[in-house]
Amino acid sequence: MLQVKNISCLVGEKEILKGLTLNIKPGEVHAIMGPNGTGKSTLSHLLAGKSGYEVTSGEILFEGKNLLEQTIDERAKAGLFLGFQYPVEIPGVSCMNFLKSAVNAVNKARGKSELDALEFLKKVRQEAKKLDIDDSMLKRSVNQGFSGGEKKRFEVLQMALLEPKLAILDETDSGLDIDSLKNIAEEINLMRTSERSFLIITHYQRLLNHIKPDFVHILNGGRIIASGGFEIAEKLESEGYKAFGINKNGEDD
Amino acid sequence: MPSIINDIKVEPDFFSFWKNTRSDALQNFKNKGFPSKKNEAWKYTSLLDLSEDLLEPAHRSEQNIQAKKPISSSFFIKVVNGHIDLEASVLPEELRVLDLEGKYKDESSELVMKSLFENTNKDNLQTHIDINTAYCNKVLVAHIPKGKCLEKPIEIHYIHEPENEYKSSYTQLCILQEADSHATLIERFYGDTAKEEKFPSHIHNHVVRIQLNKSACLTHYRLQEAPNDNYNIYTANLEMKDESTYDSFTFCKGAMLSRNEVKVNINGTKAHCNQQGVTLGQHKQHHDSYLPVMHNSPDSYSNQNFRQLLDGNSKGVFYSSVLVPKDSIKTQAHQLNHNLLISDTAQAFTRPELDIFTDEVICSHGATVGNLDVNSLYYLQTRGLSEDQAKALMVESFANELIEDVKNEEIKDLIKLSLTKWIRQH
Repeated sequence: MLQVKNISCLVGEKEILKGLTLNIKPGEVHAIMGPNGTGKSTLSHLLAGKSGYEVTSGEILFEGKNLLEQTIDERAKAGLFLGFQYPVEIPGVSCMNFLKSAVNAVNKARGKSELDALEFLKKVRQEAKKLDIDDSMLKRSVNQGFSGGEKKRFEVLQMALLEPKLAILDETDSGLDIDSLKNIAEEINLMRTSERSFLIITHYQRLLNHIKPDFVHILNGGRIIASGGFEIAEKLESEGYKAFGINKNGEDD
Repeated sequence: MPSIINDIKVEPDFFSFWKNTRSDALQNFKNKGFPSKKNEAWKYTSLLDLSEDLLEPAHRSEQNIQAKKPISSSFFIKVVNGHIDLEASVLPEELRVLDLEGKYKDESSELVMKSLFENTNKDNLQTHIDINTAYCNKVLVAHIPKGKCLEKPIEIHYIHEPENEYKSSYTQLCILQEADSHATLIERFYGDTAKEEKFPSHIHNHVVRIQLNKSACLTHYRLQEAPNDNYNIYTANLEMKDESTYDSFTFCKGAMLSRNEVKVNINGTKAHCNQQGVTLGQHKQHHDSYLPVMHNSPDSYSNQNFRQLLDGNSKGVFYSSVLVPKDSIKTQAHQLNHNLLISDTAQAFTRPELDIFTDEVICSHGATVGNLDVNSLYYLQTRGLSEDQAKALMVESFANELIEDVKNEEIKDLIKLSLTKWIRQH
């Protein structure tokens, strides 16, 4: 589904990703862990198409097509979803209007018919209920005045409605209390299919306890330095980054 | 006879009074000319390049231009190039057409007109009122009696029909609402552009005088969608007495140059004045809102909340000046102006001024000028919206935050539709 081949990337004049390679097949759940500032969010925004990222070498294929040639919305329509670490507040744009515009845009591109207002409302309420999101929250502007937890739950709601093929969740667990974490994990588990893949970026094992990933990667210095199964996350939790030869500044020993 | 009118010294002959006033006004204009930028109220807008030939009143149109459909169940008045088309209009009994050339007498309307004229024409800086006084021939005069609640809105359509010669239209509207009366006024401005390009091809100079007596209530909607080769000069004077309420929404989209000047004198306690508006600018349009409010009495409330969306090389001016004099304690006054610059070349001038000369007041003022936020655009695009769709959603939402406050659903829908059309052009 996603093939990141030896990708190097500059942000401004600084090289953040240095020959990163990652291969995600349909239905797989991958987790990326790593110290701050090692390129985790850069990777997620590069995949989503944010401007200001200059790829100096390598290529990225999504469903066999060159992802880097696609615009941001084309990537979303093709089935790529990014759950933001810091969801953006958009005053004046109501959540419902935003969700409807997004779902219709994506459905149209995928050859599906637009949902009528009633069907759409029913679907949103159904998904929102699972995430403890009430109607009053949906009447507000996108992310405006939301708590950290509300923002993350709203990200997961968007993911559920947009039904992506690959969901990249950038620190979706940060700012969540224990109950919200469980809710979100349950929603993600419900969405797991043999077709849909996940790339979960996190600092902690706690989310991974609920969503057992197939692969765990340690990212450091702009490349993956260790890969394996869930045992990697457990090792990291018990021994810290030192176990992978990384000092506290995120540098290789 | 209503109370206010008893106090007025009535001229034996209204028309001779008016004839003199008119000639004085013309002389005033000739002496002063158009306001220059040295006049603070006109600091951002210049009319100095206007030719005086343009000021001649337009002729009555021979064609029969169709008016837009009025909103359901409203009194309807059709005005084409400044001429009132009575045959196409349905006037409430409280609204009359006063002929200022004395072709027929209407003593009641003459008294209302004269009282409002004298109450609101004290500012000798208002050049456009002078020009209007000099050239306007007919005035719409509404006198809403005490306790009367007009069930249907009064809807006036000012339509521009292009002519061979480039001239001006002059209209005046006087509204006197007696105590405890209620009314809704809708003013719409639209028409066709001239075939031959000349800028401006037409000037519409409109003067409005309103007096709200004790506990009177007026809701006022103004939809300015004049042709884009017109100048639209709107000068309103509003006097508010005790416990009166004025609630207005201005949607300003048309004309190559528009001036929206509304001067409010709050001369009564517990009066409540709420002005809101959305302005859309594109190409080389220039929109200027000048909104002075004088809190001459204690314990009164004013609120101004305006938004401007400016694209192309357009300019938008918001100049609000609220005065709270020494004895006007317990005044509440709020001013807010948000500007969204859609292009790199659009310009916004914002000046929410508060002059407070007393304590014990609650006042606030604020303004923002900004571009479309790139992070918000990125976020929306990651959800499948194209760049254009993302921009449109943000622009629409910026305006709709205020438009949602429009209480009349039909007017709200009209404004939203017009906004959507505007966005689609971009």
